[in-house]
Amino acid sequence: MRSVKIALVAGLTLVVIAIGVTLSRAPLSVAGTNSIPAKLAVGHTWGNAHSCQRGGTLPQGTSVIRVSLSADVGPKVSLSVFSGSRLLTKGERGAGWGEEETVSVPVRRVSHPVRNAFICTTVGPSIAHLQINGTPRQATSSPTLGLRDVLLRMEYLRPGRKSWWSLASSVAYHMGLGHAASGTWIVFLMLALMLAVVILASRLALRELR
Amino acid sequence: MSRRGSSKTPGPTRRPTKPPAVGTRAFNRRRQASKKQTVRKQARRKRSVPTPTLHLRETLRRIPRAALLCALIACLNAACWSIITPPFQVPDEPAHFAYTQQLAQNERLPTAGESYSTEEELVLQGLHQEAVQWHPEVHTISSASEQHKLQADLAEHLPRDDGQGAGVAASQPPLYYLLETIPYGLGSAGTLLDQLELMRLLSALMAAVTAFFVFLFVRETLPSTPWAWTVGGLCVALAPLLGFMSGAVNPDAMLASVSAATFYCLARGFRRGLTRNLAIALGAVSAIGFLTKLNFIGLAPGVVLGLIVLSLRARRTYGRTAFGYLALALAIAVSPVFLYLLVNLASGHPGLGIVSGTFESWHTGSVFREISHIWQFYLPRLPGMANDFPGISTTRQIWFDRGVGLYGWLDTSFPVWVDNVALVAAGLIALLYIRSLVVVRAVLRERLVELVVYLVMTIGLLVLIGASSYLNVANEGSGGWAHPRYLLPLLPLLAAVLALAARGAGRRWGPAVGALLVVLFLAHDIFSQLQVIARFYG
Repeated sequence: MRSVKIALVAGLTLVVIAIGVTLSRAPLSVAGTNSIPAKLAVGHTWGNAHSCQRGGTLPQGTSVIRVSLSADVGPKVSLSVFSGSRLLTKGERGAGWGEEETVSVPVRRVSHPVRNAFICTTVGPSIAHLQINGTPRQATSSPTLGLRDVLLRMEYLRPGRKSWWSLASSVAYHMGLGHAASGTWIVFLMLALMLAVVILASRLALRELR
Repeated sequence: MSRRGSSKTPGPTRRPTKPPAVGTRAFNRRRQASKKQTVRKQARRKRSVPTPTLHLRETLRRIPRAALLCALIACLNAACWSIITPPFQVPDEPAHFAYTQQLAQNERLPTAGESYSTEEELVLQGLHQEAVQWHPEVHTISSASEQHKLQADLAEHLPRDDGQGAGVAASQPPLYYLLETIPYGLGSAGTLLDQLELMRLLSALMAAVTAFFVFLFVRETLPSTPWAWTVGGLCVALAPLLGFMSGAVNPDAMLASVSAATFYCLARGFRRGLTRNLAIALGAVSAIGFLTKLNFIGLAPGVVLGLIVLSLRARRTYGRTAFGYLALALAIAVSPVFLYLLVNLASGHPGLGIVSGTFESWHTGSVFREISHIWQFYLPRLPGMANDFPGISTTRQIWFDRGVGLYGWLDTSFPVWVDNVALVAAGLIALLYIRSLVVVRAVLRERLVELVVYLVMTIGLLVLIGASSYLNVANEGSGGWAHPRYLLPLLPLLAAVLALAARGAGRRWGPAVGALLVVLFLAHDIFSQLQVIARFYG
């Protein structure tokens, strides 16, 4: 019984600390783009493709690059960012990413702004056709554009300035919109429900686990 | 022989009796007392005849309080998810809502078209549903003007009965949607979003049913370890995937409940034997399952096998009547399918309605190719198999990573490092589980047939999902149906695995490990909710 109490208290304390740490960090926000419009489904590929394109200016602190590729089950995507012939940063996203119109690829943090960056994208073998969103490099009527024929839209993400804590009130306001019951009060209802869940689960565990 | 042994009614509970009195008055007294006793006995006997109310009260009293609490926790959790998840940002929720709306408004089953009612279309536009779906960078409406526009649209009382189809939902059986017409009707004086929220709350009640039967299933399968029942029940009640799907309008919520009830009935049969009532219950839950979602077909071979085994065992007690129970259960189970066939054939439609088309295109390519695809859909490729999933480990990158967390329209996931941490936790749980299996290997041998039945149910479901993925890949070239929510019917088995894993830590540390597992699931649930909040409202 005592060991259960200790495990429960220690576990819940860790959860509270983890929530605190997570919310003290800033969410990722778009710091810049390569200014290419992302038209949906301008091309398709079955993977194993490689393409390089100009990336404009990469802001300082970029840690994730969002690329305009989409799939039901995405293949491995690797990015390499060059300044001239020098490799500045790289990163990859393993296969299996979800059903999104973009794929976010974590890269090693860029320590200073990079002008005239050159970004190479490598796509691994794919189990399904990969939809390429972006702008064709040349005006064409061909329905079968591949990765090399399309300029991908890229967005450069880095942690914003404000932490989740300081954004709490705006998130709460946002949550109160577009629901059956509008108003910030639904956030408190949600918190009350989860608090009830935590209390009930803890009490039940303390009572039954012995 | 000891003195206690020589006594006719042994034990300290027996009261010492007075020696009997003698004489006429004493005789009359005794006679009167005896008469009174007889009257009292008769009255007591009358009172003890079980009326339906008493029987129900007795049955309810026998339900463990912990099971009810697990149900309550699951319901509250799903209700919380129903508030967090923005309207129509759950897989196929617009189609499922349209199905219910057309059933309620027009009193007929919808077609496969995607023309929803004017009201729903306008609300979807007002919520920017399409712009948000599959675009993690796009949040839900965030300004007062957008909210005012939405409210103005909702207040217009636009037509609700002009919908023509329910898209992907149209091929599903109607029971879930029929039940959803109740909250839909209750909210009909309000807006569409009020109706949607009430419908989501009905799904949340189904999460309660799931957790309740999961608890009872673990109780039947691990009868000697009462504390482990709570571990299994609580972990499932707190599972974020169950909360997410049961906080939405989606028949997967009900399928999870029906499957949990089916697993429980089978486990009860294996532990206590097949009775007439249990056969009726098994037939009824199977019939409900068939009427809920087509995926229940995957569990059916295992259920039939279970029924056959149980009736063979019951033959020792009931003789040939046991096979009557089998026939009764099967007749109840297939009656809705038979009725559906009959109605369709009588009205000149294909036997299985819209589903017939699916079955006609079932076999594209060779059977071996299909088997190979289904195998690789879950497990590493074997030598000699063509590579259907190049560059991806389906076990890890599809089922495990996606199982860790994939919310919204499968467009909201955790960072990759979370999947790696989860893999370590899953590895530790697997080790404890294996240790537990080694310890109870003698019991496992005794209950091998029961385990085979659960295995057949699991394989049946996996094959069904894998086969539809094969069809999808062959016909459309898409990535198949790699959605972990399709595995929700197997939640009772997950609960049993977790309960066994906690038991694997031994009698001394087992309950503490169980408490840690509960906290782990709670943390997973909370961080999943935070992830969804960050994605849609951040």
